[in-house]
Amino acid sequence: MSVTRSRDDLARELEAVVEAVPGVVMLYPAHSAPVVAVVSLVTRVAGSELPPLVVVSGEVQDALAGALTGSDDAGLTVAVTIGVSESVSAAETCRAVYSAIVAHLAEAALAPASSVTVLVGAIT
Amino acid sequence: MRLVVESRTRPDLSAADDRILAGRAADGDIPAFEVLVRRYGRLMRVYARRVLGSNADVDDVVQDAFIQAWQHLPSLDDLGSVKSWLMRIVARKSFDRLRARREHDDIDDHERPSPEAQSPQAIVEADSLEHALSLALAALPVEQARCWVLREVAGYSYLDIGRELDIPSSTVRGIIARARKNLIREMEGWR
Amino acid sequence: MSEPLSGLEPDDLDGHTIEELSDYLDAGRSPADASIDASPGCQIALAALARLRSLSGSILDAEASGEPVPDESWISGIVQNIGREARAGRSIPLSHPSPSASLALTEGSVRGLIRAAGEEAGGLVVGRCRLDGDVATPGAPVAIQVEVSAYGDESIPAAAARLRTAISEALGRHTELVVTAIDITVQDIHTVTGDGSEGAS
Repeated sequence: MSVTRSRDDLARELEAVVEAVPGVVMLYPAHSAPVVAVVSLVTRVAGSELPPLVVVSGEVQDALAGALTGSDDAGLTVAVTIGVSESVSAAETCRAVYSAIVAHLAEAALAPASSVTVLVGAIT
Repeated sequence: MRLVVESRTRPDLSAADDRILAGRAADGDIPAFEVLVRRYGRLMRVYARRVLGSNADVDDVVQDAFIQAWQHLPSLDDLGSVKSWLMRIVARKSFDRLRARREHDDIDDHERPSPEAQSPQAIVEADSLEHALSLALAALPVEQARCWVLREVAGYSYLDIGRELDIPSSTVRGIIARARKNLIREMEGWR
Repeated sequence: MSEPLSGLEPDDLDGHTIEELSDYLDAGRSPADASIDASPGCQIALAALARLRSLSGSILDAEASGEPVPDESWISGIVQNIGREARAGRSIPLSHPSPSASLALTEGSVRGLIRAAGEEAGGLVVGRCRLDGDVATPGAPVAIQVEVSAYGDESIPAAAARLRTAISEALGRHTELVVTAIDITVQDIHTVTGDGSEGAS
């Protein structure tokens, strides 16, 4: 059985993936989190104590294990809230983030997520 | 016929009216809220100081009031009344602080006359009626100034003042009567 | 009035108290009380009470203008502690062919777009915005309601038309909302002077 990365590691990888999508200017703490100040990408220190801004829950499985257990299980879910630039259509940026997340999971040979939620919290 | 001017200048939010600012802030615009903080911060501090009876706690009470205002602004229907709404919030926060002091028996520490108390001569020399009244208020015992402001400025009933300060409303009437007499004497000296 | 105030006790007020006179003033001297109205001491005291009352409404505003401007760290202490997420509102979905995709904009982000459209258009400051309709259902008709105030000398209908266009373009570009109406309500034009007092222009 192959060793897959932890949810936390995957979440931090996905943060970098999402930040790199053109049009994304900010990641926000999860939508349902208690009231917190905005965390700027620039000021966050790598490996800091803050929880990852991409919320990963469920089980991280490699693609083969995922295929065997079947996708009807409550598998991996990914959720992120982003701030986007006004210069690109927010709808396009949102879709691009979804695609980037899905592509990353595939490239990492991980089982696909049963749900990927991308919420645009601000357009500036 | 009015001249149509192409104006692409950014509006100066600091000159916008209360209703617009409150509407933007209710919708989430933090810069608009900050304008309200700057516009009414001093008034709220002055009011809190009168209710609290001293400078202690004013910073915290007014900050807490603004933070609560931000949270509840979306539920304010009459956005144009945001000024009086803010004043009600700061009054409630001030009463809460007074209650907390009573519970901790700190109340007497804050009941000394304000350090701004001036001599009668200063009142005579005041440059305006308002200034003279300020000085006269400062010369009152804290409880008289507090009750008078709540009645005459904020419009609270004797009953509500009594409830908030945990004293009988008949006592409130007596305190305010003494405040009025003292203020009249001080102010007539100014004239 | 130049008569000296002889006193404020019942002896000086023909048996009346300052409390009674205050209540009488509160009631607008009605119903008329003959014994108060006929008492010179009472009339003098009532005049003094009325002068005091006329000042009380503005006393805090006057004191506020003499109060030092709060320092920036106190203001930051407020602004840093208020939460952005509380204003998210409803989620406005975006379509995607994949069933695993849940894509949406917050209502708050769309209100921000509308405010920015106001700055882009010029001549009007956008206040409160409402998205009227079932924004959570794709394709449902949505009416946009915007309160604005005007500034500058420009014709308001012209500015409103520009604003409507700017809002329509922004919503079309960034969202999939089916916007059936954009209602712009202009508040009275107000100018605000430096001390925060208002006057109609």
